[in-house]
Amino acid sequence: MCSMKNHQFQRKNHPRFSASICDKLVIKSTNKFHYSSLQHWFSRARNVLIRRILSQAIKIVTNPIGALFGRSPIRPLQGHMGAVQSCVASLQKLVEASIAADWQSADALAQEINSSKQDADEIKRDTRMHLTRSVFLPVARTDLLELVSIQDQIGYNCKQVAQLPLLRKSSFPGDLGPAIAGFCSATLKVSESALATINELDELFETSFKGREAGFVEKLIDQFQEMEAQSEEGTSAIQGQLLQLEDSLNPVDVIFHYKLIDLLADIAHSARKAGSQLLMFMAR
Amino acid sequence: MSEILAQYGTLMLALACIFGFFMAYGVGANDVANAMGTSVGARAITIKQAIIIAMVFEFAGAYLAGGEVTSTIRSGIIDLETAGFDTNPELLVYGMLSSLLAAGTWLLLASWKGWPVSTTHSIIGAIIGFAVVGVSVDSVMWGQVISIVASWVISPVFSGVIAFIIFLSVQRLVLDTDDPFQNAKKYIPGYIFLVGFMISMVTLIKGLSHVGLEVSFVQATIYAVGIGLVTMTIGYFLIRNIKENVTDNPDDRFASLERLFGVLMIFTACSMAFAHGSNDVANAIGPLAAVNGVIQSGGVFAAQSQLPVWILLLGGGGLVIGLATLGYRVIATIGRNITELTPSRGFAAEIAAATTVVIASGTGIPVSTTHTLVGAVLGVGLARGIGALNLGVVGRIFLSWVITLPVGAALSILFFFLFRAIFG
Repeated sequence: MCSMKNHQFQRKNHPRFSASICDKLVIKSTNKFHYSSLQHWFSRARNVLIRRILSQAIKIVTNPIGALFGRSPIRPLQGHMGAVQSCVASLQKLVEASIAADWQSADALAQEINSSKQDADEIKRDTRMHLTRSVFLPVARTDLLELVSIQDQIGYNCKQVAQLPLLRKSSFPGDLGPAIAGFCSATLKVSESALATINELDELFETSFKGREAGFVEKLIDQFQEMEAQSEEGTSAIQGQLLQLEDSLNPVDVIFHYKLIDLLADIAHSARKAGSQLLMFMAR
Repeated sequence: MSEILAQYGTLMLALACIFGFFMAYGVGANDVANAMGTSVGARAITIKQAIIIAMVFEFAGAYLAGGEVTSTIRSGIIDLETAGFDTNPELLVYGMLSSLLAAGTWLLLASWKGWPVSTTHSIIGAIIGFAVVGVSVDSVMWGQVISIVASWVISPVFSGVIAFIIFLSVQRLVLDTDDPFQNAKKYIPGYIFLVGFMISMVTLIKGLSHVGLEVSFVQATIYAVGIGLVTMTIGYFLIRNIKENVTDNPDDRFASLERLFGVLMIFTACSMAFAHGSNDVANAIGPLAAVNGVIQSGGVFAAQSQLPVWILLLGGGGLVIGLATLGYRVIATIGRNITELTPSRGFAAEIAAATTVVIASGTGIPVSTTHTLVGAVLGVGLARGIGALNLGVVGRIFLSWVITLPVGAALSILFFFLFRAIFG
């Protein structure tokens, strides 16, 4: 009896035994020096028994209630939009760096966009994989998948825009630089609002897409629809400015600038669509 | 009196006690976890609290309201006179022993393989099996069996509908309003009243004759309202001090609200444990009661004899021990799996499931608590209440029915002939 107590005492204080149960079970040979072989055999047999019982208990758990609850796609969806939003934020900085002809930091920012896009893609793939047909959701599965695609489109456009200035390293003469920078931050604001709206998804879900929370989200959507309308006006203003400058610029540069403006407008447009998609969730 | 019973009666009763105890142990280790897992998963109660609640209320349910289902299992499936148990009472003893052994074996195997089988279905399948092959096809009261099997479909649907309606009422009264928090404070005592009233009403009407308490319908209503008011008062004091925690963090906006519903879920967890005890313990002690009835009366089988209290205590005890030794681990794991259930949803599912199961217990129909709860959760899901539900589970449940009944029957037949060969 006394030796038994002693044995437990040693086990407790032995650094290798203070780890998790699994570690305890793995250790086999070092005990030899402490205990007689009979005690050693006894403790091993006990460990094996404990391990058997544990694994049985875990197997029992595959039961209907445990398996009934799937993983809600809402938080991954918000995570995806968050990653996409950081693409847009880095893009704005990248455009500013290109206007200042700071190609070194522009390069670093392009790297940042790539890695954010990669994060987003991983979440996207994971979300799609979990949205199997047998999962029953409070919103239509197709609507959710559509939202993922729209968000993905924003990220993809960011990647495209990021390549343009770096590829060509063209200059932005006169007022064109500040105008494009302003346009870019307007786009950023639209996508920020989209993220804020999508972050309301869990609260919307909590109230079952009804009542005060639904009204609140509708207001948010209205707000940034207005924002997008403003940014559309911005698009035509810049295009007008560029038209004036066309003759004084390298024609290929001009094409690149038009392309840049178009893609930025696309980002704002997709961000608005992502927000509107939430209306689909509320209207059933 | 049959010679075999005179010779081996004590041994057979001892075997029945051991088998019945282990069935109860299995129910406690596995099924209780399903009843309590949703409360733990919704973070309304801790595992420790879940075990204490389960011990008290499972036992209370088994003792106070477990009688009707027990008598169905021991004498409501086989027609004792047609079966000829008057002349060969030992056949019933073999049959009930083999049913317990068959259901236990099948449950052990299924748990090991991770199949979602129900204790109720196993035992019913086993009893039908030995009766058909060991005695005769006519000895089974097929009308009863059909109504029991029908109830396995009806009970999940019924609880699903109740859960759907209750969750719609929560949306209407609390969630879909300008001040959800204040409205929750206003209406939650009402839901608590409903829990106390429903459970005590059914129990009072149907369950308490064996404790020596006969009440009329009017008396039962008065007592049930009284019990409902008492639970409501307790609930009122519990939620009185919960204040709305106004934070700027938008993610916490509904945290205070869910704390209120968490209190409600303590009550529904109690009712769930009570309901489960009232229905599922009978699977273990019904056959035991039948064996005991035959042996105590020396072979003269009296269908209407009182259920001895020690049998209820044995069943309740086995259940509690199973819960304490293995069940808590299962509760912990289920609780971890359920991350998307909030108390405002969980309580609706639990009220619905508990009410359905207690009504079934009062009527003497053995149903599966787990399947009823699955139905209730799906009902909440239909009201757009739950983030993601795996409908694959429903298919697995249907499959488990199709497999469990014949396998339970086959094993029981096997054991029946084995016992007959041993005892002669």
